[in-house]
Amino acid sequence: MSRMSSARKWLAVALGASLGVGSATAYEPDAGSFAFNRALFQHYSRDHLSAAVTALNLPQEQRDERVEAFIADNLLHYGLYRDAQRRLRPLLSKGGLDAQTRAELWMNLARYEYERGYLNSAETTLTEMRVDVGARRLRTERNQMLAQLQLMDGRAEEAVSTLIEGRTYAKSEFARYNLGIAFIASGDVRRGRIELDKLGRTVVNDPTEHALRDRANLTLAYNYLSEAKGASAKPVLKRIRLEGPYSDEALLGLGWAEIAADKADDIRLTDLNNDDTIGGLVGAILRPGRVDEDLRARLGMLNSRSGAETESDRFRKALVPWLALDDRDPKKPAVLEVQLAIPFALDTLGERDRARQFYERAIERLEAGRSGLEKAMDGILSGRMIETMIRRDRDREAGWNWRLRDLPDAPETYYLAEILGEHRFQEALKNYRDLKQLQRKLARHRATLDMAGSGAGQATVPAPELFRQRLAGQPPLWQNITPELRLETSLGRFPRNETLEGLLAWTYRYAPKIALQLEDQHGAFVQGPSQAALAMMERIDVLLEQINPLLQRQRALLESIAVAGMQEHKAMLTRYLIDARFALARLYDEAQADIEDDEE
Amino acid sequence: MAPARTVIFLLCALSGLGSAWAEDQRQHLSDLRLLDSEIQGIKQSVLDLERDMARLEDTQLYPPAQQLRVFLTMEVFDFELDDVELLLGDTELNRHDYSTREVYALRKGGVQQLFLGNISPGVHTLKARFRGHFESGDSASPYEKSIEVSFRKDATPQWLELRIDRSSGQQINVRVFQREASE
Repeated sequence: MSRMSSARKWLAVALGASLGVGSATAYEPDAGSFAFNRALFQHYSRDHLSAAVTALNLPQEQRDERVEAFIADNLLHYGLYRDAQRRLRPLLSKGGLDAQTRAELWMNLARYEYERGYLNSAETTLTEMRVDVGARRLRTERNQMLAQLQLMDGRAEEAVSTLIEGRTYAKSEFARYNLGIAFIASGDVRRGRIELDKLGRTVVNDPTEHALRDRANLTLAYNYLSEAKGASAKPVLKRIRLEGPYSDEALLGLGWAEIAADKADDIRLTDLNNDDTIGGLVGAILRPGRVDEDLRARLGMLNSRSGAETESDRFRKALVPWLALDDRDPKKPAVLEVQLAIPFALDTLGERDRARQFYERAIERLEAGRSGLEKAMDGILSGRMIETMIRRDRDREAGWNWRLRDLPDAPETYYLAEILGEHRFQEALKNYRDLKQLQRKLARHRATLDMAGSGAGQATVPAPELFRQRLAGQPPLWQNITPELRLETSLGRFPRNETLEGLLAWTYRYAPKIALQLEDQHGAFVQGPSQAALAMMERIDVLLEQINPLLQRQRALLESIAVAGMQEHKAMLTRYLIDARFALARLYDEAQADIEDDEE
Repeated sequence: MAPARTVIFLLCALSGLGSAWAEDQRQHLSDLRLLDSEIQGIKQSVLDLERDMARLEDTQLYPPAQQLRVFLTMEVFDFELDDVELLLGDTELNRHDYSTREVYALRKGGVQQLFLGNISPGVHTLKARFRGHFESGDSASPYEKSIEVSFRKDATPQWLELRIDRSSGQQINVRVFQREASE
């Protein structure tokens, strides 16, 4: 296996220990600025677009570095990465902000770049952040993310250095896990195994730590199994919880470890008889009473044996965890695999009838699995699933800050469990949601403008008062000159000796065409509401037209990501089906040959 | 199938790392970045439009002579606001149900705009009803507070801030402040 492909394999394992979502930068209210505090409400309510707009419309004198950072941060959260980056970089390099705020802003930028797949930019940001590393928590997260990027790029040695720097691995269990992976990917398998083994034996306090401990054990065990060193893999697999998220793979692996139990690694990391203080571990499955006693007896497992184990003994032992796995949910990959592993072991032990029955059942289950998968793929392509996922907080302008929390209660959800956790799916989903939300927002603006154009929503205000209001703030066109104007017109009565203001007010009311001509020449002074509103409506219509095709492409991308994962699952099922049918045909052929031999 | 070969075969299947998988990943990431870039273009246009729309609201859609804005702030940190109902005379202006995040935003010092609209000049009566509960108390027993305030709408924009603060113990008080549009 080449260095790159090996690194890629270990990268995928490392990605499982994903980075936690960091906390957002905290902003304090400004006693002197009511408008900024409006933006603050929008920020904390996760209406990041509105927060940015409110802050951008603040008077220039209120836009200090803190407000500029607030604007850039909200633009980033909304997903306006380029604009946010353009505003953030000079702010961060100037050093006007305190170190903690700078570190948080650097980290937010890096998180965005990492999650959206701008990996080179993420690495640049993290490298630039080095001078700004503030809190210890962020230093650890920074090093972890940088190490993952280095691993993705096949630079495992650099990842090792990054994780060792400042003893990052000692401050986070995820970092220690990734250090183990990085050592293995860099070719220093022994040190990688030592790190994973340490993590696999730690005392844990919460479900996340327990899941990571199980994962470290599973990764270490499968690393041994890849060299068929079952004797070394077995004690490691026994440390995994029987009801945890990795128990299926652990039971499957334990069976293979039993079969390969005649080979161990030269370096023993763990006492083979390590009894864990935690209950409910996979190791318990090997104790008497946990599986069908008749079967154990029939397979000769209850007899005490002495001396070296034969291959048959090892296959019998492998059946114990596999039969425990056999009763579990048949949609799970490990359970599907065991459908083939059990008859394979039975066949090896000479139990051909039983093997045939298991192969027949396996074919039924695999076919049912494939049919279920096809239905689930149809479900995804119908769009129902994606719409369900984005229905919560549909009008919040959360952008990148939005988190997927609603999973549809549908068959496809099960198959997508892994994909739903991946950045590529989540980020594509966020963008799809953003486009939908923008569509609704623009449609609302359009309705407001339509309403205003029709006069609805306007209160009754005397016209002279409105004109006075409109003209009050305008600079005079001609300083210190009060022209006398006379107008020859058939449009209606016009007061004599009127001022310019009076003329404009009159034309605006009685001769809008003339007003429009003046508007072209003098801009804001005479700009009519209808024309500004019309221009706005036009912009909205253009944007709505642009959003539609983007929405379709974004949805196609989401479906493609989802379906690709399921296609892979389907290909695996098809492969198993072929194997099962082939094995079954062989067993029937052999049975037929035996009958023919007997007849002869 | 020999056991060792089977082990390796199963391990490869478990790792889920076929070349097709890697190729799909690369293609998806590339498509994601391309679309993200195009969507950023749309978002930038919407941002510009929103800024202009805000100005249009202030000058034309809700001109100063008609404009009324009502804001809410909160200085009580253990009051869980459930909803607010706002009326002008007998006409309902707005009714807002609060999410946990919005209550958090108020507690962090945020100013929420409850209403923006047009009203006629003259004297008006604004009524507001607040419902919620105190965190430390019996959460099953709701707390309700109503206020009524009269004001004169003149030619300038009318901005009113409703501020929830504590009167005593588990009692809230709502004070009304006139705000300037330039603040």
